[in-house]
Amino acid sequence: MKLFVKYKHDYKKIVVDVQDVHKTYQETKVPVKALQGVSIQIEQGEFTAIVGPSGSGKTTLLNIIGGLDRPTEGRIYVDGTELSTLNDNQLIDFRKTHIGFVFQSYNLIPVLTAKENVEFVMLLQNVSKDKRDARTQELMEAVGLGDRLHNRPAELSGGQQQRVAVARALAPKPAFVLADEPTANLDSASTANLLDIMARLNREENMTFVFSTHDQRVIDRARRVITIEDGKVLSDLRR
Amino acid sequence: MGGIYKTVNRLSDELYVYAQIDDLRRLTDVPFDGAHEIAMLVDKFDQTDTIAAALQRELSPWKVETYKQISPDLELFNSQIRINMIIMTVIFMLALIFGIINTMLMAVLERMKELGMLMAVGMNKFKVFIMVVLETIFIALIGAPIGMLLGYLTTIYLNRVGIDLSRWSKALEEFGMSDTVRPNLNAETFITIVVAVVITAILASIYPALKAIRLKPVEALRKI
Ligand SMILES: Nc1ncnc2c1ncn2[C@@H]1O[C@H](COP(=O)(O)OP(=O)(O)O)[C@@H](O)[C@H]1O
Ligand SMILES: [Mg+2]
Repeated sequence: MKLFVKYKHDYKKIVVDVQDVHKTYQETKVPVKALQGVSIQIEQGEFTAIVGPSGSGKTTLLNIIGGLDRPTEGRIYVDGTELSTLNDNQLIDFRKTHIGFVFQSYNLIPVLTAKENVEFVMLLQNVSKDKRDARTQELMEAVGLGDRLHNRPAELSGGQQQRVAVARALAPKPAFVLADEPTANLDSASTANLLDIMARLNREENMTFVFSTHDQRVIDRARRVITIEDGKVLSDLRR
Repeated sequence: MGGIYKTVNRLSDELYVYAQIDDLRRLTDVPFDGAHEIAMLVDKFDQTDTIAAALQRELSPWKVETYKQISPDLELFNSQIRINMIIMTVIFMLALIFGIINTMLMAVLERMKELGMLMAVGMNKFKVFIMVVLETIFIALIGAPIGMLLGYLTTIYLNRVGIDLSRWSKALEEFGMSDTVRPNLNAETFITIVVAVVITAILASIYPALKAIRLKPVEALRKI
């Protein structure tokens, strides 16, 4: 595989390399071909939207890139590791250290405070308390919630919860962040706010984001737009 | 004749006559310092057989008999009660097992999304398994003392007041039983049952915990 590509007179690291991936769901009566030969390379520092109508295969693609599901055919390299070489438990560990997840419905743990939610993955990684506290504070400030550390998810708005989720995804310093329709449950003000924060983290921290959406306002903010339809890449535009 | 007596035990009412010892001596020619039967109470009643055997060796030609030989119905009654206790304990333990499985299965299924998220962000199966088992143990540790206290207080109260079975007193008299039952608690049974409950709780948590680690994050996360 290629680990680096020449791009704008600069060598950029390839974080995600999807090679001719197919995914067919067999459990259903009629097998569903959700992905039919998708090849994508995502470089470090990109801000990429995966776009397509409902049922086009966005979630399937993101799940496979994130190591949550396995392809029927094809290979995925994340940070240089081919995911099919990892068994289930290794894959869980790999996700813990390499991939940040932001889910459509936030999925914060309701009984934990915002701070504890952000800290959680670092606890799984046995990061010391001092480092955890510092990193949590830094991240919560980065998402504009420096003063809401001790609030439970129920005491936060949807937009605020999703910002906590972004902070949680960034906590273990992943290679990239995957977000499946992160703004689908947000109003337009919260959507704009969340994208401002993601774009700033992308610009200032060089954090790689891959998110799916079918919201035009979100698409407009992306620096690269990959359109898929019927499980195939229709277009791939950088701007 | 001095009078007719009535106890709660109709069997003994029909069988026994009480008389002055001197009258009996006169009637039976038993010498003044003699006896025709000596009753012994032993501290450990489960050792009656060994003690009786030892006495028999010492005391022959006298006949040594245990309560089981003199009154086999009593022995039957005893073992009947013991079997009943075991059956009841098993029933309660089964109810407990299903109660716990049900509670924890709910706790797992209710939080499918949460568990899916935890596994997605890197909590491994071993940790998820331990989490569910620990949760069950905590619930058992909170519940057990409360249950122990309630059970203890109930027993003490009933022991003081007694359970009134006088409605069935006629029937109970036939068996030679009192119409008030006073439950008693012995420490050994109490502790055995508490330990059994906690062990049962841990065993019962295994199925829900297995269910939790068999969840696939993608499928669990899809649930609304
Ligand atoms: N677990 C599954 N079993 C069967 N079919 C599925 C499953 N998940 C998704 N699909 C199907 O695969 C296709 C792509 O779905 P998905 O990746 O969720 O699309 P999108 O996220 O773009 O809406 C759809 O036709 C969907 O019905
Ligand atoms: Mg989707």
